[in-house]
Amino acid sequence: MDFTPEELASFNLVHNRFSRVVKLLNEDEPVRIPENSSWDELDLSGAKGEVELPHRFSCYQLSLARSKVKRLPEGLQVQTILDLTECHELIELPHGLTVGSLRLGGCRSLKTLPEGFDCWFLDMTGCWSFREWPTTGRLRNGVLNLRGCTALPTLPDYLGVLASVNLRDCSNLSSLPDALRISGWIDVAHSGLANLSSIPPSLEDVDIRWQGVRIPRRVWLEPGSITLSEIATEKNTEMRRVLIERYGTARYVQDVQAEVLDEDRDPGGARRLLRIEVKDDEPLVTLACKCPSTGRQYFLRVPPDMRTCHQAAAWMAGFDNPDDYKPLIET
Amino acid sequence: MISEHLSEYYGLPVVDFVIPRDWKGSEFAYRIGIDWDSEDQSTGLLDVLLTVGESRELKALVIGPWFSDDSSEDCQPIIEWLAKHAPRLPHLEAIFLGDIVQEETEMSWIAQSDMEPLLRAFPNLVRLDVRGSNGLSFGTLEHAGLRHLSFENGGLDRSVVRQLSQSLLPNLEHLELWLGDQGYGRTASVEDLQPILTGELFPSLKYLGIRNTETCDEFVPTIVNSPLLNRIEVLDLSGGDLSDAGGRSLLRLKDNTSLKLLDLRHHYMSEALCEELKSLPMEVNVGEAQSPDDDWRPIYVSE
Repeated sequence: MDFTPEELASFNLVHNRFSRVVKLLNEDEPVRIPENSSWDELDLSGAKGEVELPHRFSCYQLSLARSKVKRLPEGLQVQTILDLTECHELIELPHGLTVGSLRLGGCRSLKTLPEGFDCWFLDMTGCWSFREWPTTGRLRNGVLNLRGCTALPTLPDYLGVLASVNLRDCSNLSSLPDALRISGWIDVAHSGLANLSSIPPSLEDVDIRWQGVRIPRRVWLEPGSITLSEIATEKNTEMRRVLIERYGTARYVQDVQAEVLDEDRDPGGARRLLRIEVKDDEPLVTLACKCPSTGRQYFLRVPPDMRTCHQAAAWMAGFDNPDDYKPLIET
Repeated sequence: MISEHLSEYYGLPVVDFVIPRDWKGSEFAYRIGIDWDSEDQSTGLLDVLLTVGESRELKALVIGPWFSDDSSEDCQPIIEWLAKHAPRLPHLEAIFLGDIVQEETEMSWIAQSDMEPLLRAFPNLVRLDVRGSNGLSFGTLEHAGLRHLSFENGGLDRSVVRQLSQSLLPNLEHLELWLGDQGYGRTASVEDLQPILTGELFPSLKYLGIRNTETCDEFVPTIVNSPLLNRIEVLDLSGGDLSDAGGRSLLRLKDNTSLKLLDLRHHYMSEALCEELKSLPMEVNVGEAQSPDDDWRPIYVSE
């Protein structure tokens, strides 16, 4: 990069001497990157105006996070990190895109990745439109984060060994390629894999996590084997929460014979505020109520100092003073 | 915490140099540094060193504190002095910049500067060690002689890794990066290390040190997948807060690796895992074990 401060300003850019990053001068104004330029770190995050990228330019690292870009130019060269986090309008990436790390968290309009993409780190947290892998690509050695990719049904066969795979909340993903290899961990909480009863061959030696907590295979594959006394004696708070969830919160509340703190009625019918003592942790206080529309039973955890059903419902609606909570209608 | 000055450097015993009589020949490394209450300047001591006729034969130089009571002074005057007088030190092969212990100043406070003039002035330099990374830069580095490069610090800025990733060091054999603690300025992440881990940057590498790393567990599962581990001899992950979560990934190194030594000293792994790791087909050092039951897991040097 060999531009004077004045030239940079004319593109709507400024060089930060301390962090050695070139940033936007004014987020509200359009920014234009000149043809054939090369940059170390170019930070265009938060650009609210138009972002004009030429066909030929290169960066060591480029951030367009939270900008309005829809497409990136073919032939884009970014060596390490391409950050497109929260680019809600992004629909297409260049063919053969090769970077070290591709950050696409929150790119909710993106349905697929480009043919022939190549990276080590891929973050697609919350890309809920993402449903289809390209037929060719390379993803290896690093971290694959697909948390919340609810539409995604499969992983591709071309994945190399990965450091970790986060499939939390991938509710439509219920199988793994046999060739998948993981050196670190996989998180399967609330994914389509959560209901498996035997370990997929590719996960034989892999640490299993549930919402970030390392769990024994049995807690994943045989939740029916979890006992009340096991939950009561588990020392680790995070682990105990996972055990209760795998046991089934509703079933747990019934089986453990919770103390009833309060009872009343709401549009869903009878509701109860229940309290369960939990060793070395704050008590589990939940509002047991039914949805007025679906009739489903819910157990909604509330702070342990709640005393009445109404107070708990008001707290969930954001009211510290329950007297202020006077819903006109509950559906 | 580092509390001792170097006693040996570049295979040579280190002696303090203050007056010409301190010169003992070229089979010693000389340490130049000033005390907190000193009225001397490091560059003044270097001037004295040049008055010794034999100093032309100097092989290794250790630079101690260059500041008296104001540790925010950077080392630019030393870099400039060395670059200017390089023709008079034709055999200088190794420089340690910042042999500064905690009593003198915290590691994260040491003010470094731009190394580019130094590296350009000494094409025969074989080894460079830099302690502290505040203000550290070295431009786009091209150096055919350099074989050993080490950055010791309590919190490494990602710009240092970027400059390294844009460098051309065809003969670099030993690369040691102390990543440090995010609370003390570390911004370098495992994603920043990716260009190094591809193995395409430094074709002669034999030793990779990713040391003194807080959240070491986040780095290790990626590091073990690096193609570098099929050709280097030493992987040094010592001085960090490695626990079982990251340590278990190292069990993958049971085959398809060229490693001869896996250095994991100063860690928080369980005894059981340490035993398993010792069965790997290379020497595994799991010394300086810290208690895995500790919630507070300091790294070797943070501040």
